[in-house]
Amino acid sequence: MYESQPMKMAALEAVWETEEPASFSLLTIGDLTGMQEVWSIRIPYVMSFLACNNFTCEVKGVNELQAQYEQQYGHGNYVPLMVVTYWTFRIMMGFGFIMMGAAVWFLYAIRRPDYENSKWMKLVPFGALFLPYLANASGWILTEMGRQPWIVFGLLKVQDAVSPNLTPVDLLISLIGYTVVYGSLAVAMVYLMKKYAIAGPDATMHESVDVAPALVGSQD
Amino acid sequence: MSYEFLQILWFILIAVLWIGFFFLEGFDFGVGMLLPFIGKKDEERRAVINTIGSVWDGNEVWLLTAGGATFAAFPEWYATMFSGFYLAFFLLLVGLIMRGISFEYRSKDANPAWRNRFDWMIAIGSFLAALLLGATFANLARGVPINADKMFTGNLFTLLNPYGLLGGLTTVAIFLLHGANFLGLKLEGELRERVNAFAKKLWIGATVLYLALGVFTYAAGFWARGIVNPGIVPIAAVAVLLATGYFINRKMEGWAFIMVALNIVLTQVTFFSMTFPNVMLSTTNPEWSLTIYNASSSQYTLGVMSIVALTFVPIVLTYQGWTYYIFRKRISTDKKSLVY
Repeated sequence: MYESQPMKMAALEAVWETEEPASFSLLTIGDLTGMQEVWSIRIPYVMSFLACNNFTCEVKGVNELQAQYEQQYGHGNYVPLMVVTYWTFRIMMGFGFIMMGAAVWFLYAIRRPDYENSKWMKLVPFGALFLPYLANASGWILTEMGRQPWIVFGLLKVQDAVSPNLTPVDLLISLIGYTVVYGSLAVAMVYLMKKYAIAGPDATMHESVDVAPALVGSQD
Repeated sequence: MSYEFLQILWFILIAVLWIGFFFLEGFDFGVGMLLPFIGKKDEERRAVINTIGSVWDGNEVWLLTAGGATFAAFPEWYATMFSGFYLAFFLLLVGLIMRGISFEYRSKDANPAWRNRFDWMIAIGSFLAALLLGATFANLARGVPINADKMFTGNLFTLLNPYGLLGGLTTVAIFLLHGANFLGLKLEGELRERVNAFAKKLWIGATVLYLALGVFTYAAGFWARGIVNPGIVPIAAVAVLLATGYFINRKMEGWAFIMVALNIVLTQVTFFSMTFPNVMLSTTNPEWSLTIYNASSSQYTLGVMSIVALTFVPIVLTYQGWTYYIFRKRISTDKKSLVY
């Protein structure tokens, strides 16, 4: 990413001005135009390490890259939506570390003899269930949003790749349609998962409806 | 191999994929549409679903392969057709999604209302898919408005013209008949009798619609658009459809199934010969039609694709055929033998 899509790297770090060596931001608040930073907590040198495995290399800033691309590719806005790229990167990484922490905690927690009744044991694994999905989705949002306005970096822009015969109404219909269809499926899925989770591992699958459902649960 | 040879080869291969798809998924869609009507009790519906339970997924893959091959071999055809028919294909996808999920979720709850809801979703999804695919192919035969930039200039309602609708309804009817014949081969006992009664009525409807479609096609002059004369193929298709009625009456289910399958294959062969070498005819100006020559990929792409296809397709055909052979036994409604 540092070599082939430097704008994405700068955007996910909210690096507006070129830095050498580059610092890693823990928290950055930008101003309302999204073009300047107002305040941030930074760890020095770490960004250079993430980008090129040494502590001294230069990470180009968004403003410098924007000027460079305008010269190379013509007039236009080559800066992706920084609020999204910045925070999705933090979510992805943060959840990753939380998952690692949860795994370590779990290894420690099961050493106690009565761990099954612990309050934390009911909450932590359940909460951790959603983290991989959210982290993964954030990562994908970062990838796609960070590459805007390109669909193929340097070669094809999104506005050139759209089918010319499609109207916004068409796209809206299909977008809403897919959301409704997948949303309904999610409802059905959650219903089924909850049902089978409550029934426990000994529940048998339903057969004919003329037979009484043989749902043996291990309820306490 | 010359460029032109590769282009013609891939046109034929895509035609084969579509023909295979309609032959295989035809009876899947038919069985799906018949499900709420043939099966009255839960075991009966389970038996009907079990007839296609092991093969419907593999059959749907033929659609994906046909679409994928179109994308790879003739990207401009893919772009114009899939973007142009956007909303129709979106509805088709919704139908296929509904159907696919229903097969999986149906048995997961004992509530009869739950199962009934998903059974109807299978029927409606299959109906939507059959209708829209038929309408798509009818419109490809008729021609659609395409401008000089190879862009489709109509909308969803352009596709729902009388000829397209007739094509869609005919496809639904033929698939219903095809499904009924397949059920006649795979069920036993009372269900088999019920299916036979259905098949007789479905045959009448399918024949009437098919003949209407043929007459419309001939009268509107859609025949000789391309350079290949379909010849006796469409006449043979009508003949086998008429022969089906005889076999249904005599309860010779195997022959009835073969006849309708032949009808589907011959209809598709007619369709592809009618349009060759065009892939999408333009009603705005015939000069702007997409042909296999102006819509294809490069020679290198087609060459690589040919090597890959000729390696893997025989393997796929073998294991799909093997699946059908393994599951060839008739399905009874005996609870002990049903798989949920």
